[in-house]
Amino acid sequence: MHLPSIQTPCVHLDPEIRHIDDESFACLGFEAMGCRFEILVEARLPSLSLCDCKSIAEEMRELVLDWHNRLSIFHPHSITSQINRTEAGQEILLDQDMYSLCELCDQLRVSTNGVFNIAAGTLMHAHGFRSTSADDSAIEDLDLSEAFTLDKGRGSIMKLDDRIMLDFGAIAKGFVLDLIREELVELGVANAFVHGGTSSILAIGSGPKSRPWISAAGQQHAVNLSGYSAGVSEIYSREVIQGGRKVGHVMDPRTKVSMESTVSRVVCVHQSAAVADAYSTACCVSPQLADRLSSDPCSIIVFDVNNPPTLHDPLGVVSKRLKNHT
Amino acid sequence: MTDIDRREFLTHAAGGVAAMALVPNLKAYGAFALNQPVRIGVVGVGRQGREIMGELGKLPDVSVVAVCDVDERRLKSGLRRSSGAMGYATVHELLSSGTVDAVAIATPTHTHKDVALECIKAGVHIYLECPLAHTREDCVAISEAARSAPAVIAAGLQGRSNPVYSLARGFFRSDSVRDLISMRAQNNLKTTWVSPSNDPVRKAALNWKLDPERANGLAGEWGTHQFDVFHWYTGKYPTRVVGNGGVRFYEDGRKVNDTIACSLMFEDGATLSYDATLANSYGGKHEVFFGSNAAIKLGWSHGWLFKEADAPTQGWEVYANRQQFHNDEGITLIAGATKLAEQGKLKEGIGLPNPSVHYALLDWVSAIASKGSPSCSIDEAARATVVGIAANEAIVTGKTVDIDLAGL
Repeated sequence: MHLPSIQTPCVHLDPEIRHIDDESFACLGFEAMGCRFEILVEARLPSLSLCDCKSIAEEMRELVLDWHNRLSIFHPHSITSQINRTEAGQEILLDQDMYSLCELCDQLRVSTNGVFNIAAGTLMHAHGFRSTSADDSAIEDLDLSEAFTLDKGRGSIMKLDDRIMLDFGAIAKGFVLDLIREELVELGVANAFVHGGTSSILAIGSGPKSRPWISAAGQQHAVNLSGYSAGVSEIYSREVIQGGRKVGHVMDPRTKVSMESTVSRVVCVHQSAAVADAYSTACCVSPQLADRLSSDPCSIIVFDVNNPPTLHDPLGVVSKRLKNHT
Repeated sequence: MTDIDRREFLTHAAGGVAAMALVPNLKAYGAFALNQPVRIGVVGVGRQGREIMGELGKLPDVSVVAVCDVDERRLKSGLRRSSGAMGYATVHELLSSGTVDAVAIATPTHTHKDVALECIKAGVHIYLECPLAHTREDCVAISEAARSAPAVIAAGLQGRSNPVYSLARGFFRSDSVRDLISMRAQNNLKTTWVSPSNDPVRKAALNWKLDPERANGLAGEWGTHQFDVFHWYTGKYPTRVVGNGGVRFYEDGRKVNDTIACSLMFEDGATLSYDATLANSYGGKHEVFFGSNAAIKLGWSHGWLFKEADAPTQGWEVYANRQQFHNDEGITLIAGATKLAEQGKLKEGIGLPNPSVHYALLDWVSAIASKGSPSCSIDEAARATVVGIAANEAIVTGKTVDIDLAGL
């Protein structure tokens, strides 16, 4: 038996399917992108043996690790680090995969009114999440909505200010889960479950005993993730002390300050894990966006420390949580 | 090692600040200048080929202008990892385009000969992944063709260009381990070694490593790289090999052993013990030289020197970074140690910033720029590959196999 670690206070699997039979599912766990990934792939004889599924899970692990190395801001030779240390005004040619990611991020910045922005990495540096020498006054005049330009014809990116620091951390896991879904479908996988740090989730087909991939979301709701992806953002999951007060890691790129709202957590369910990641981050910062973004369509639950959760469920995937779902 | 070698090394290493002896000049690994960018084609863009593309992308004055793969899906993946490269289904089409000065070959081992000979004939510079080939005859054919080629032809036995391995070799050659007692290496990795595909024909093509007719098992595919480290350090090759192996874990009908062990014997009585498995990852991939004064352990991105209590002390050791391994304390052999110390980044467990293949490619491109020789020649790779082939034969047959390097 394998027990996936989907058991955070926010998201954990239905107990009926939480115990995975390792005779029918290949299970692989590993560290990447600052969290633990878990991949479950169900065998389906005669076309897909357990060994086939193990090899598929390994291939997906390689995919995740590859993107970890490409995107990590902590790796001096990653593409992100190369972009960040390149002077403003200098064009950087990107490969097609990387350009697609940058383009997607820019589209999401526009669709979230600038709330989701990979240039928010600039704020993480300025507020001391990336170094001990925090200096938020150094970015007072910076407009993060004009952080970089993309040239589709040349497949290039260009920073518009030397202080801009890109950080794909809020979307990297979702982006790689979308790539994994493409690969799994191509390989003929019917049932699989993949998560990165429990905050980015991909569910394909159904779980053990042909039950849907149902996960608890907070105290009251359960979400049927089958066929969808989920992104979870929490405001105070990481924080630094600055000027004697706690500063959460969710920053508003428009105002360039840490959020101090009463929103504690947002769960977004969408076809795309990357979009789910971006929307959950955006709604954490600006919960009023949930109403508009849910027309995408996606389902969004906003948890507030003072009020009951707010639910937007055009996908019809959210239900009342079962009593035994603890 | 001769006394002259030893004196020469000590003169260079021990002069000035003692701690400098720990420092290979990482900057020198990146020093090359070209009149114009080298236009490179990558042939074979599976996992290894895509890694090569990624590492080439980090080098200055290098441009990947073409990718080639017979597998359509892999070709598409390769193209997505490029910025405007052209795609080709065959190496012939790629070479006929006239757009490349050099090619990096990362195709399956059994296809190396045909691809390499065509590239040699075309006169382009070549980086050829190892093992060199799956048969002795193919090794000889590639080796003979490469000898008369005017271009720079490098083989991908990556230990020879690895900065940590170069640093540690300096210690080995300067007698830090003193009398070489024995050698040991392993490569343990929990992996199916299967490339997935739901198309049976494609799956068979992708999984050439699990076909005994097209590959030489763990000893051939993995061992060759590690055996070469010992050849390079000692300047000697084994003359005989015994071994055994079996399918201990993967019950999927495979015919290639998932677990092996072998002993390679040298003329002077020294033995290299090697084992590898696909069923367990403990210890990973490393090589160890056991000497009467010290042991050197190499882990591809890291290296350590473990000294005996009665070994003479050298000045630099006082300043060296150390790492504890249960009851043993290793002196970390850190590439670029002085620079890191100046930046306050010298910490336990620090390793090379790039994978081994990065330095191999850098070495190759540097050789092209300087019209020099690469760190690993085709001849050296041919000999290491034949050792790997012999080791696999010993494992598969259970017999003692003589290693014949005549003519290589």
